[in-house]
Amino acid sequence: MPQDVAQVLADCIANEDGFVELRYHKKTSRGVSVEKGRVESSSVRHRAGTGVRVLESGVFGFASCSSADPTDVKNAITRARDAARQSADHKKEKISGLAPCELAQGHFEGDGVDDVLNRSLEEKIGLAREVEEQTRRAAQRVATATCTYREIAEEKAIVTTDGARCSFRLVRPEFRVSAVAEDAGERQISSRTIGVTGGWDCLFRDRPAERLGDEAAKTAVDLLRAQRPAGGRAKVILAPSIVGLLVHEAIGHTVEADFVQSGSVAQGKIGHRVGSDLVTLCDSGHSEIQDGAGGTLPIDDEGVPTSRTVIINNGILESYLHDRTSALKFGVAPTGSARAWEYSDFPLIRMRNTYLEPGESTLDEIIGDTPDGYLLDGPRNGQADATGEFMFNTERAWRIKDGKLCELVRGVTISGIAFDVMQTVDAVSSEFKWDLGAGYCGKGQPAKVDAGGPYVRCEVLLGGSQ
Amino acid sequence: MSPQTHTPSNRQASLLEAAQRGVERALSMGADQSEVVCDYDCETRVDLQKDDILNASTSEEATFGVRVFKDGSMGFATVNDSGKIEQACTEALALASASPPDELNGLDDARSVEPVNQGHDPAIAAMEIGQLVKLGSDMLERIKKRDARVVTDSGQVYAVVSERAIATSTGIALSDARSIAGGSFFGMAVAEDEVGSFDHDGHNVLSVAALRGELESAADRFVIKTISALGAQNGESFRGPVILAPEVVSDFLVGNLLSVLKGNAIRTGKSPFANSIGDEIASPALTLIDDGRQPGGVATRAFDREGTPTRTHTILQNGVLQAFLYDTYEARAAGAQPTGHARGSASSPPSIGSSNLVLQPGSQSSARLCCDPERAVVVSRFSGSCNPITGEFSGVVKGGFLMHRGAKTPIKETLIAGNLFEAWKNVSGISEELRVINGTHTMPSVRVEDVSVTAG
Repeated sequence: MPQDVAQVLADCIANEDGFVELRYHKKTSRGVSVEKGRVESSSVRHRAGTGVRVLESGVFGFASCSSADPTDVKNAITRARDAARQSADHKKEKISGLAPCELAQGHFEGDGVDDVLNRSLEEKIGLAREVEEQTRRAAQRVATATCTYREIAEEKAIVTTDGARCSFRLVRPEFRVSAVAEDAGERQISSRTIGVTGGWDCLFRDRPAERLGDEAAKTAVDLLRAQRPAGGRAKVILAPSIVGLLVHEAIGHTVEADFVQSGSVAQGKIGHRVGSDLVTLCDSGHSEIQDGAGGTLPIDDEGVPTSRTVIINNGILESYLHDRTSALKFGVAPTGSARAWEYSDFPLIRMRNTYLEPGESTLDEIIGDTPDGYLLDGPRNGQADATGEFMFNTERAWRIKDGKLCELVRGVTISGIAFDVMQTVDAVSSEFKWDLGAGYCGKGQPAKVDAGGPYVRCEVLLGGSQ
Repeated sequence: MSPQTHTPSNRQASLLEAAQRGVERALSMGADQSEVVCDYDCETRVDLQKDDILNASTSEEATFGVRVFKDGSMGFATVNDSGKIEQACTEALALASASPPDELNGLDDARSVEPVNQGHDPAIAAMEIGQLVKLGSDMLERIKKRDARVVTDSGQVYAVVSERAIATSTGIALSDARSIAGGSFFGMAVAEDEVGSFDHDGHNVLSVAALRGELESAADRFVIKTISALGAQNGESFRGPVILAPEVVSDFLVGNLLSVLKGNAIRTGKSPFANSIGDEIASPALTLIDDGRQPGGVATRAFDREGTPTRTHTILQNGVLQAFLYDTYEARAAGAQPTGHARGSASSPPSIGSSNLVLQPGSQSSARLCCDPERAVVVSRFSGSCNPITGEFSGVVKGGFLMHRGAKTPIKETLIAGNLFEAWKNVSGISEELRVINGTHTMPSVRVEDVSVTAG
């Protein structure tokens, strides 16, 4: 149990001088992937070990070992101290310390851990097989289907010489289904993904697995007949999944304090207007508004309890995301945003669950009030730049004419400058959804995150045919 | 059978012994066939952040991957503790028992593996943290001296030693070792009232002697790329030629094509090229080779993740599709021989991937490639996606330029869209200059006609 490991680690640092942080992390990933009737892979991966971070001579040193054995851990502390000492002469801006804060104590148990882990392999593999087969048979033109179930179960214990002594367990199941439709040599693909922090019921809280397959099959077939839109500036209504991409990729990264210090577009903009009055954007370690957000965690990897951080409040930039190092430098409290992917990774400032607060309109009202535009849903991927310029590919887009949803179009890419686009937000729905829980954020190392929000109307550049 | 050209270390011998014990254990527990891969990695690394040293670190880990086959079903489990190999055998067997059979499942037979010089410079293993810190610090200083406006947001320099052993119940017993050192820089230029677009560069080498020089070159390219993005203006919308930089050719043009030339894409009907061997699927000017045995290639190895020997593999010859990429399963499904393209580490089941890719050079200079058309867009980085099923792609041009009658203007907010498979046919020029990217991909610049360009 991670609580027992926390005690072992606490003993390891009892006589250490200066700042030492020990983070034991045991991760078990199980997955099954079925394609065209074949179980392509069924696997389990166990990885466990202890990451050691020390602050010495104004610089961090880091080392890791693949156990929580006191001899191995103490050896890693020695190696981390050596790494710090050898770096000290070349560190230009010495780290003067870490922001003081209330560090976590005790054990935290995530929802659904035993529920997911106690389910049999047969049930998980069986579900993936059934949904794949059903998806493949959902329409004549569906040529192939893929279904993947994956779960990541984590146990952590974090102790520091300045007072953290905590542990937690959580589980994050994910489910993906894709259908490929084919007609006269033309192929189209559609996918549905869900991912949560929580149990089995939470994973399928919106709709059963079978319906996800049906939806993917129908969309893939419909996309065969869809045309590309004309490129240019357009009024669009973004579904929660695309809002999630926007707030995560195009804004969230620019307010990570390490990136702010490097010169992101958010630098120096605290107190400035960066969005319309309708824009209130937050990042939280908790699952706000709706349960099960995929990036939920009780404590960050510095032992700081996570909280809700209001980044933009009614259009005004209010806060960045901080670890303890940047918080001291900025003179603010840490936001519980330090995260490491595995035990051998150094913690970095990362998002958790990023979202836009819901508004008061309904989606139907917003569509009815749009004379000409598009409704976009189904993120395929997204990237953003230091400049705040973003690019997202969407799977499905419906033309809106005279307040009515019309034909499906395909291959839609949207782009814009995030803070400029936020200024154009003129309608925000009351409906809310976490919709990127199956996603992973990359920043040198992966992180499990979620993002979402309401339906949002704004103006972007649409990529299409010329 | 011992493919390495150096003496196997004691660690390799003990890894191989552990692998062979694991194979026997899995068989004794009821597996019909078993494979155990043991990886040992030792890394010394310095992370960079905000033009400074972030931290220095060391890590060492051994990973053990167990794949079993029972009654035609397969299961895989991995652990990072040698004391838990038996647990991995148990879990892999449980996964196999819960999975349906497939008559094509099974391991490759032992084949003759010819040695290859895959690079194992003992000086890389001997690199101390202090040396890497100094190297990282020197690179940051070099970047600032080249242009103070460039901010290295993040980066790293590292030295990694990897050793591997593979044993199977079909008689494969192989081990090797390699050492790679390298680094990368990621960031942007920040002027008084402007933040430029992100860019990055880096390189991997097989010897300490080459490390500093290659990292200096990467740092210099990083400066040029980030500074070039300043002063970007909105471009023009048109349909016409785009010139793809070698990095874009590697990631976008070649990477996405390869995804539909893998055996699994062919078998599952996700490739439009299933019946195209011998057909001209690209411009006759294009020849693409994957050379698993390329001298000096960072991806050079004598055998793949399944113990199958690697080889020099021509994929496209003058635009004509020559071959697909197979591992053992996909080769069996296709009635072909495995091509040595099983990839991955001990922490995951094998999957198909390439090694050292070479797109043969053309005869035009890069300058001519850009300046010949009356109007074209140069794509230094592509932030977008390609649907591998349909070939449709769209995304934002990064670090791009509009070329207009030879004049070069940096552009922003410009999207390109088209179809990847058409793009391979519409190649109208290939540069004579080649760039080696990360030590594994050797690519020219390529001009593609008839692409949709939308300016903001």
